[in-house]
Amino acid sequence: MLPALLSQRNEQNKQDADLLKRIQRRDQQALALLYDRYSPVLYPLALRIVVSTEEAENLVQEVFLHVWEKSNGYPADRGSVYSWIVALCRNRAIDRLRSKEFKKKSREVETKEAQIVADLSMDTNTRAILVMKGYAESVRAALKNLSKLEVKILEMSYYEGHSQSEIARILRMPLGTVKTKMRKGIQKLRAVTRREDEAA
Amino acid sequence: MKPEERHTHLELCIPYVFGRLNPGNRKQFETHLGSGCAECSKELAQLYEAMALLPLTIHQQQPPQQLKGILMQRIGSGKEAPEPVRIRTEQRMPDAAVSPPQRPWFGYAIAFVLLVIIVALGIYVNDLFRTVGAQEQTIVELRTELAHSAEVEKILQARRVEIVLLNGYEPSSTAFGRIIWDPLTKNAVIQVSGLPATPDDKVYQLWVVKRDGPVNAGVFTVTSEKDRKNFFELVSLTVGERYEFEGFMVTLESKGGAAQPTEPKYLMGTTKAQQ
Repeated sequence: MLPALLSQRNEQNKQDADLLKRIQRRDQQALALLYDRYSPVLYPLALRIVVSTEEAENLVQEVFLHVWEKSNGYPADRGSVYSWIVALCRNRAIDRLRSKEFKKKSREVETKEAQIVADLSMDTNTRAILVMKGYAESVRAALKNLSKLEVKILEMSYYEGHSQSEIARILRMPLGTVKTKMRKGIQKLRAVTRREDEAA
Repeated sequence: MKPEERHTHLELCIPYVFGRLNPGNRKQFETHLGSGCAECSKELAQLYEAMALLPLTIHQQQPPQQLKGILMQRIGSGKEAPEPVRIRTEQRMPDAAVSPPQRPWFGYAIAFVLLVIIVALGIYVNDLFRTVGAQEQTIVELRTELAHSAEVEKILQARRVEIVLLNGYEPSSTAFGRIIWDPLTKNAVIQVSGLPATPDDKVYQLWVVKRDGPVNAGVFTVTSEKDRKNFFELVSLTVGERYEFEGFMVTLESKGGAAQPTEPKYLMGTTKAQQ
């Protein structure tokens, strides 16, 4: 199932690149389509980091406003449009988190997430959104190869913005172990994207 | 570039993606990327792609529907570097997208300060008017007193002045007074001391005692402590001729005065004793 989804995902990456070119030509409809595709991913990502619906909404707005204003700054050699947008959102959210010191609250998010029900409306972009959803389920399955510790270290780094030494201190384990576990976790994640490349 | 140097830069890719490079290292790494290192760029691209998978492990959730409308409105307005709209705090109203940051407390504070200033100014002006009114009243009283004094002085300076002593009787046995009058002009001054303060519904009434009975010569009131000690009042004794006057008396009567005196007599004196 995953190869088919990956293939669809690669097709979607090409569509995203086309959308970005249209955005560079000030096509508002292109931005609306991109928003429909990725706001259901960016919003819970921001929510996971800042633990505030208001802040998460602001962050999603900021990200798409940035895409609209700075679409020429997209570094095509550093990954897909999707990974660029996700990185924009994650980095802004971490900045917000560091500025407001929401670190304690971030732990409460998982409880909220359990109550979240995906509610995707059927519109012109529905197919792309469903592909994304199916892809996400497959990625989740693939990530089961990661150990709990690898996932924990990656999440602490990605969602909470902790450095490796901070993670070592929090988890009370040697810094070398943290580095190794993180590297292994990233390698397993990259294995998924490599299969994506092979499918392309 | 030496192989070990390239390796060092590759080591920086992970902390760079996680935003954990210090400013110095980040600048150095970005300079390196800017030099066109394809290997590091590829490494970064793969890392970004890999890390972008993590958000997919979170269940997808659409943001509030209004958010898209607000975003599109902002984009449609064509403003440079638009500020994000806080739909939560702005009650999710699309119009809030173009609203500048609100500071209602500032306006309220200014309004409040202005109100306080206006009220304080009003109180001050009101006090000023009261003070002026009180001073005008004092001026009137002083002018009246001066006029009185001038009249009294005129009577005292008359060629022929007659004085009738008034003695106190129960219930004001310690009171005393005198009538000083000019028989020619028939102007007189009544001076009394020690009379009780006049009750609100009463007046003191001066009577000229004639052979055929007392005749009203006017009313007066004693209210202040100053008046109780020493009270002057100008009266006009036009109720008859000097030879008809046998004496004077003061009684306490109902407000407006009485046709005939009632008991008790507060003060009384006879002209015969003075002659």
